[in-house]
Amino acid sequence: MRQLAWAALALAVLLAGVPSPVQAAKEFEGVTLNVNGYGGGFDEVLKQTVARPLKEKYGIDVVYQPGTALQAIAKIMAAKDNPPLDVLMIDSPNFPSVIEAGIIDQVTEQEIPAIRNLHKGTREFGNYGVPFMYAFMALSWNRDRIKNPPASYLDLARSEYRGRLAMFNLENNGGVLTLLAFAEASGGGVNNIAPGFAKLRELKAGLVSTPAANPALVQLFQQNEAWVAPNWSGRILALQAEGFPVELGVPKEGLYSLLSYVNVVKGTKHRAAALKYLEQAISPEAGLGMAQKFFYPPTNATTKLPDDLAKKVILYGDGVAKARFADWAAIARNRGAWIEQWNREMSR
Amino acid sequence: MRAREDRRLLWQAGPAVLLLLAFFVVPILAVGRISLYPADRSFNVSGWSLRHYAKFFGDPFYLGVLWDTVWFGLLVTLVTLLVGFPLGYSLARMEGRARRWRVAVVILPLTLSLVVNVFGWLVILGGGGLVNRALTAAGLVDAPLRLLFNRTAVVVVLAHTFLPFQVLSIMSVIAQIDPALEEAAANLRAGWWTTLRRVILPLAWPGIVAGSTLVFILTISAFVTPRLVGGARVQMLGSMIYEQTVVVLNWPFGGAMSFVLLALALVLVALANRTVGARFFAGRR
Repeated sequence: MRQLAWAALALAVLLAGVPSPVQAAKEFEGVTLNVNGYGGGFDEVLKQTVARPLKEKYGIDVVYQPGTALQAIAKIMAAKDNPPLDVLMIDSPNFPSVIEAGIIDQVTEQEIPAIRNLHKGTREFGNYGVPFMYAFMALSWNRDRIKNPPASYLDLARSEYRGRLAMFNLENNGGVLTLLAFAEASGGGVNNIAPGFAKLRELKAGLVSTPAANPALVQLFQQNEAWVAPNWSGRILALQAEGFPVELGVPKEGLYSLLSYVNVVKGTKHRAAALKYLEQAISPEAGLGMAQKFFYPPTNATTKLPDDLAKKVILYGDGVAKARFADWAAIARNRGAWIEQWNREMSR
Repeated sequence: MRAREDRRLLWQAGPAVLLLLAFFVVPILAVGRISLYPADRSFNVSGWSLRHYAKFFGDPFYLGVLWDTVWFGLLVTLVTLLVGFPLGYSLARMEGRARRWRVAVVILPLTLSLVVNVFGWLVILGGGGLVNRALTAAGLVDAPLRLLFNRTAVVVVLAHTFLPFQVLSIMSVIAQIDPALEEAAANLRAGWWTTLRRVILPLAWPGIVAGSTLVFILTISAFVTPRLVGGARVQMLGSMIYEQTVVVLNWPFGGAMSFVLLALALVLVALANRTVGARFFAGRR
């Protein structure tokens, strides 16, 4: 009897140890990828739409390490030879310094064929970085208070918005894009910002506050302090989804955008698995997940969104032509000087 | 005997001194070194230069910010003094339990995170906030007032945040003044004003100076509050240092401004020490 039990146990162990054909096909069983996360709901969407499919298809485990992009960059810089992250998730503004620091690898279309499906112009830095999501600035206003909404960045200087206008300062990338929009709408540009500051001088008396953080601008609306502001589309739509009477308008100048990217970290021990991560991050599945949760448009042209969502994210189908991109290398060179000038202008 | 006591004191202070050296003095010296780099960045550079200090002191804009910062410091100190002195006095003259829970209420704001504190004020003073709703409901105003995003709001919020430092240090000195002195003054036909001016204030002076110094230094180094409640036009040195260090990554200039702020605080502490010392000895005579 006891022998039989032992035999059964041995058999069970044997059977469990023999990989089934399905399991054997998993290419990266046992590989763990470390990816920086942004925390909260953002990482939850990634876990559902990126990490889970990777586990099912390839057996890859993904561990998210929440923090800011700058913290993640600093972590890699501190241990270049043995990077603590395999995949780095950053936005357009981070690229100039990351490329200069040499901590990410280039990725070609041959390695990830799905890159071909990305909307034109979204790979802002050549073969560096694979973009998975847009974030863009739009005009927003409180529909109960504003009867004559702005149609252009230049309209923000109207006297009727005086004391009810808000905009990000230059610490927030949204503020940089707003200043750039002012400049380009007035005949200037990233290397000739003076017309932008001229516009700022015109409207600064009407500014309630110039917050640096995204939630602070939303709070100005909730508290009824501000009625008009350029803001990130996702934040406007999230506020709208809560039932707040805020409207989103596409400015005449276009939708100034930045992109969120995934990168293979230079020196990772799991480059092949990291490429699979990048591929999954730009998949229609992941794009849909982000759009549903945060209203930010996917970069993959083959993503199918339900009609109402497609209308909300705007940069979808033919709508992508409305996107405007910025020269982040030039911005990185000029930003310090712009901030200094901003402080001077505001103190006058 | 004296020497042995000194040696024992040295041993007792040793760990604290080492801790201060490692985590306070050394980092400050490092910031000082960075502020003397000739470039606008702190990596891959060498050499020495005073150009960041020259930039600060040679530019009316930065001098204006420095002056504004000092002005905020003085104003907030004055407000906490006017509110804090009567409060500290009454607390000091209270007995046991009544005093204990009142002190707990005074300290309460310190137990909150600064950000929570500031957001509370945003809710209270906002366009749809408590104060404005009360005013409109009472029919005192037609439209909500703009109570936030100006200099007054910064002074109010900073004064509220730092009030406990002023109250506690005033309370602790007044508690040591024997009430018999006030009675004696009254016996000698001194009115309350004369008693306050000639008995209480001189004896409470060290506490007043200590509290005011603390509040002033905390105010001039504030950077979260001015940014959140000050709006676009309020600029203080602390916010500017934050910006240079975290956003622009110009650590040398940020370091130079930090040292200006540090120098300001040190000068003030030295002055405060002198007046306390002088008063103290004058009282002894």
